Amino acid sequence: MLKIDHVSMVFGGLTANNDVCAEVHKGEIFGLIGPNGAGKTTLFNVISGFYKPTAGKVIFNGEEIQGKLSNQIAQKGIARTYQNINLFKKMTVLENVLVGCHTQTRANIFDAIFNTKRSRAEHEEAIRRCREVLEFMGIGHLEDSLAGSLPYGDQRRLEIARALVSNPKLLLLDEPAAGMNLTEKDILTDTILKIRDLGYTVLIVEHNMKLVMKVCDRICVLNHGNKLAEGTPEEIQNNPDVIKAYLGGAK
Amino acid sequence: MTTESTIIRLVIGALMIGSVYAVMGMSYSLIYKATGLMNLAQGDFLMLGAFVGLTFYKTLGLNIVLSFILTFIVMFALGYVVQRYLITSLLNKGASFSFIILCTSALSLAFQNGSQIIWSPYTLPFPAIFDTGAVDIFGAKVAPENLLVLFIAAFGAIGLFLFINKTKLGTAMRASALDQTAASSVGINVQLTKGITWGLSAGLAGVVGMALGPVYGVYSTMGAMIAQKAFAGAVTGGYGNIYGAVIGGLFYGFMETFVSAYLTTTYKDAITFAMLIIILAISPTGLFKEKVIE
Repeated sequence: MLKIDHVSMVFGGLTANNDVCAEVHKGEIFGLIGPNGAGKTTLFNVISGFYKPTAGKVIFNGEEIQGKLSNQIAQKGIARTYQNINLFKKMTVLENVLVGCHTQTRANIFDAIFNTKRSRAEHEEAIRRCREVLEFMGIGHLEDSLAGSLPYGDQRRLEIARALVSNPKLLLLDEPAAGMNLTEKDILTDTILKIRDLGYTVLIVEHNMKLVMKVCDRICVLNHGNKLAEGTPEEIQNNPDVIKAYLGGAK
Repeated sequence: MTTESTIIRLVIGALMIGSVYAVMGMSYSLIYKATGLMNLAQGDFLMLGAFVGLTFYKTLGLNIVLSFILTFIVMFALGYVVQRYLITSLLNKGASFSFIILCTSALSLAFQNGSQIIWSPYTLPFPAIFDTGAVDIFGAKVAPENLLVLFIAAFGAIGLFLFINKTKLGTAMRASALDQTAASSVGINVQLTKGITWGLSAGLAGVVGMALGPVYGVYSTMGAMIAQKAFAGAVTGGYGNIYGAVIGGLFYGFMETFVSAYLTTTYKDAITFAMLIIILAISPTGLFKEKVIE
């Protein structure tokens, strides 16, 4: 469903991604790992339209999307979260998720001005769906709190909820477990598996090996911008190059 | 005329001009919140709205409601174009905010002089909208056109409030103002949203300007002083705070009306702006700090 075709991304003299190829299949959890500075987040930003790759193509459901604007890419069904959490901090939890429905609702400005039946019905449907997703992420009881006032783990969950509510074809999670404690990480692991069981396709960047090895169907390893290996968690754990470059022989 | 009816007349006058300042102040704050910019041509959107409205209503002889709607559409389009093609192209060239604000100041002069070329350098009379004479409100005689201004400004302010807080597009606007990156990654077209913000504030200013036509007449600098007072109101209320702008605008409306009725008409503007300086000296963030909005 998502094909990364010989993508390179160069910033001045720094090559963040060098000729990377990978393919994410429908319905799987695909992990992207690598040491700090390996170019994982850069690749995420290329996929979600924040960077235009220096070379190569990103093909999503048969359509080239490299260089398109991030809002256009979101409209095509790729939703994402951020390593450093980008929530609308001064809006409530429910409002944050409602904004996430943006691509889903059809009512136009005239419906909104005249408060038509369509706009009201759609709004109620959107709120129902938002509550459902918040409940699924385990933060349903917080819907009236300000997003900025939530504890870190809940902010991460809210960001995933906001991405999920748009029914994305592909969900990009950028280090979702960063800053979470052990219990929160276990809950997150279950949640990600449940998200896949609902039929979503997930592309995840994560440093926590326990989580990655548990949830991912396939993993791609980057090192210094180059692709080092690709395979199932077992294959990756037993790949000598990967052990040398990344796991440091600690296995 | 009894004292009570005088006071009622003054209160209605104060509400009328105060609500004009309020809605103009809201549009300043809206632009500031959504784009971080200040639009010094805001008063000239009001003035152009009055001229455009006059053209539809008097020259083309259209129905008054239709004239208001068309004026809103024309002014919305103008505001949208200014943002999308002028402001955005300056931003894309990396112009700093102070130069963009200067550019809106130049735009203001261009609009004022342009209106003199297109329409007239003199004050044009706007024909009465209602056939009835003065309306009696608790013993005070008030021209119905003044009530129309009050109605339009209040309707605009309430409509804007509902729009920002209750609609999908309004939510998208607030979201873009809070975090552009996150907004674009949930599929919001941030540039389009900004254009609509400018369009809305120009459209509102234009409609208010048209309503003011029968009260003050239509002339090229009619927006300038109103915009300054509205700006004072917005700053007093806490710049960027759209509710503060309403309270600030009403405050200056009342002050100006009662100062000119009981103290002096010569120095009413001096007193208004002296008040602004005193308030800013005491509380530089305005009466209601930015917090109230958020």
